[in-house]
Amino acid sequence: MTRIRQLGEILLLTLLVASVALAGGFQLNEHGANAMSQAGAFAARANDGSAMYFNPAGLGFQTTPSIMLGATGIVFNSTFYGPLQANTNQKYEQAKQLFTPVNGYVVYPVFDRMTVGVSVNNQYGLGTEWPSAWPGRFLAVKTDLATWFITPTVAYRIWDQLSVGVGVAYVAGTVKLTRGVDTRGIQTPAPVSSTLDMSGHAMAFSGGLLFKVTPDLSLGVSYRSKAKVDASGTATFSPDYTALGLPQGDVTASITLPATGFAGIAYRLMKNLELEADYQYIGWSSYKTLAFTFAANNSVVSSAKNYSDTYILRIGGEYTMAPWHFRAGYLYDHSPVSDTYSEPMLPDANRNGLNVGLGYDITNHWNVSVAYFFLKFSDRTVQNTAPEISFDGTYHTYANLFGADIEFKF
Amino acid sequence: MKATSVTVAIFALLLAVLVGSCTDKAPGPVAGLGSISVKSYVSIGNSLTAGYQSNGLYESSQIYSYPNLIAKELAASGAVVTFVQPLWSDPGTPIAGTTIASRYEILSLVGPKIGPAGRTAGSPENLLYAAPYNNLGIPGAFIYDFLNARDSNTCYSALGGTKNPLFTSTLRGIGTQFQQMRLLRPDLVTFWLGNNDVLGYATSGGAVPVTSPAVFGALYKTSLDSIRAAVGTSGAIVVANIPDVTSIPFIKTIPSQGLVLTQAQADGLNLATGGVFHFVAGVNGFLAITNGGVKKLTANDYVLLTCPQDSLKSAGWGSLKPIPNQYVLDSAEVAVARTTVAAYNGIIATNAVSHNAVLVDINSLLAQIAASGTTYAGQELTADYVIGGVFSLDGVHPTSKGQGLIANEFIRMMNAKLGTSLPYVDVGSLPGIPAPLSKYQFGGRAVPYYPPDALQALQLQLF
Repeated sequence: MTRIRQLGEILLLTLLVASVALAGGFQLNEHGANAMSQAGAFAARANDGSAMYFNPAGLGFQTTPSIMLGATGIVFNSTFYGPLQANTNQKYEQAKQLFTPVNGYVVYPVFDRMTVGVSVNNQYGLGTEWPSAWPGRFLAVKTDLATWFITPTVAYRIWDQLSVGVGVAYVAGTVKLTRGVDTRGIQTPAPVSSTLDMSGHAMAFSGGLLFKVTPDLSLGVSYRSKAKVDASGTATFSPDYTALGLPQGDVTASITLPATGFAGIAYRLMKNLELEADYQYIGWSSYKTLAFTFAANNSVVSSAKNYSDTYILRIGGEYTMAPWHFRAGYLYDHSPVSDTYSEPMLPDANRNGLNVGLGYDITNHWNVSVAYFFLKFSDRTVQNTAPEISFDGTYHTYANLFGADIEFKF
Repeated sequence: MKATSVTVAIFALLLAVLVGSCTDKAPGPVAGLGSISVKSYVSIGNSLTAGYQSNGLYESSQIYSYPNLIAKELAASGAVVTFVQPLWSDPGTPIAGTTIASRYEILSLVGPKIGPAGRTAGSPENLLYAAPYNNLGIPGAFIYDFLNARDSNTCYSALGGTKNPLFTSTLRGIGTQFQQMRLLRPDLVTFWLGNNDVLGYATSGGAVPVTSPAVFGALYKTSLDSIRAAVGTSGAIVVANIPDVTSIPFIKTIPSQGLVLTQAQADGLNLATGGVFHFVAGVNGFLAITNGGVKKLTANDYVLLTCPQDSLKSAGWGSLKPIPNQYVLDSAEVAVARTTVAAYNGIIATNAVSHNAVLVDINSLLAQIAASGTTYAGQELTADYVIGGVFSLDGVHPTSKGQGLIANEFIRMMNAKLGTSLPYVDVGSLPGIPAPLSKYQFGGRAVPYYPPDALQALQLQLF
């Protein structure tokens, strides 16, 4: 094989890496450019700090202290055609937005068979921004959700081939929702919009097992519990026509982030080539309703979400040609949202993702990874949405994700 | 390296497939007229067609009349259509014999207080328009008027003693509604008459007689014969039927079971009335004068919105003083109104078929809204008085949003039967009833300041 041809293939592979996967619903799965570039198929190998997300047991096989820091840039494009209730295919585009989830991992082996670590990352996030005067303004205009997970983790190598890990996460979340207010039959001099600005925290735990069956075959399984975030904050109405009795002031809500689990199998095909396939389960059925309680008049505004439990299929691999690592992956993410409850606050659909990435070992201590991920939502035409939504149409969404991580091994 | 080549090829292919599946063509329905052509659109009807709202006719209500909304969607679908209406400048038509505008406004959210605001009436804006108006809806028009009324002296209500000046200002001596329609050579006509033939009976508490179904049938058939002859076989005719009178807030807002008594009060009333009405502690029907004498109202009887509510609250109306007959529509009168509406709608349906006209079932639309409201894109519209969004402050005529719902029902049937693909009106962007709120906020408060429970007061708690 000529050098030029090799270079061509390297460049092509490079184009495919990066798995900043906006996974189903508002779960994010981009927590380290290495894993991301392999479509997050990492639970059976979990051989860097991002193990604390994919499989805490992976820490048990990491015998060198390390620090890994990175971030992902997500550029999100979403368009809506409709609403069909108006018998039209009018086009409405979301403002192009950039999200930057970050990750930071510190790994430290303490005893012969025990390793501890701390991970900081954004495991759930969401942002949508529609034009403020669009027909769906009473459903959604601007939505921002961000979470921070700080997870101290400990793993122990029970046998040479088997490691177990557990972690406890402190979760901090913020949510900001803006949309129009339906003043029913009354016309106000200017349209009223509401903004709910809230924050809260919760605890979750994680656990995992990693079993290196043979030097070439390993199995990994991990689980992260759901986290019930009790959020509180302020509801602001603008303009605030006090005569209408709008419930300006304190507001509370409870959002349960779903439990998730990974099961993966990794196989070393050749000396330099590893492949892995993972099945991820996400317990989205915990997100049944979103209800806001307004202290000003003790009223509850509740909307049904009725998400379903769902899954993601991931395949990824890494080809090592020291000091280069070539990585690629593909994932299929099944949407937890049914047609009936599809609404523009979070336009969701089944997703296909193609990832490519590159790792480079600068020295024995330093290495960098970059990743590119193209995430394509299937075009989704929703009809017969629930009466309280009554907003049918077609959503067309895709995202480009760019990730980079730098790791230092002591 | 063979594995690498294969892997590269697979991923390149997958990427190409994903990128290639990005679609540029906008999915969904495309606006168009189908195989019909529309160059001239004329609407015939009464106050509902004219865009009458909150007891007045004024430009800012007329621009949202359902025919004007339909004309906009026709234009958006490629029709070159001018649609001219007989506009009255805001605040609109005067109270008869005065220069004060008759339009009801929300005077105060406390109560709420609703009535004319004492403004100087407006005046017609385009009396000198050189052609007949496209919107020939005249408030107060009966089925008789379409072929026979030329001005306020020859309209149906003039035959009963009340001249209707809007006939003179809309018809302007050019001819009847039919003759003016024919002059415009329309290829699309919407026709909605019959409401007043039964509504006058309902809103007067039974004092004004209904047009008998036999007379209505004869006049309706002749009307459609004339229209069909004028537009030819290729012209499109769209007719609408009559809603049930009890689906409007004018009839339904004041509860007939609105007399709430303590045991002592009930005992006192029973004593004063000889025990005939069996008042009990708690909820009772009001006492009212009906055609059969004084009666305690049941849930099948209705108190009209015109009934002075101050008298119900503090002047002893409904208990010591029975409510006068003209403010009550009792169950017998409701039965007459319902039978009449059913007969009219049978006639309209038969004539729609025999004249190859599209039938718009407004009766079912308003029945559904009265029963459970309607939702659209997170907004709720119901038939409640004031806050519901569908009916205006007179409790009879729709708001601009209500006109939007009516226009969409016309458009839906036109799309289904004429093969057009007209977009619907975005009801959410149509105005509701203006509230007396200041545009400017000072220190977070509206000026003037109203108590925060004003919105709850709109649910008309009488006791």
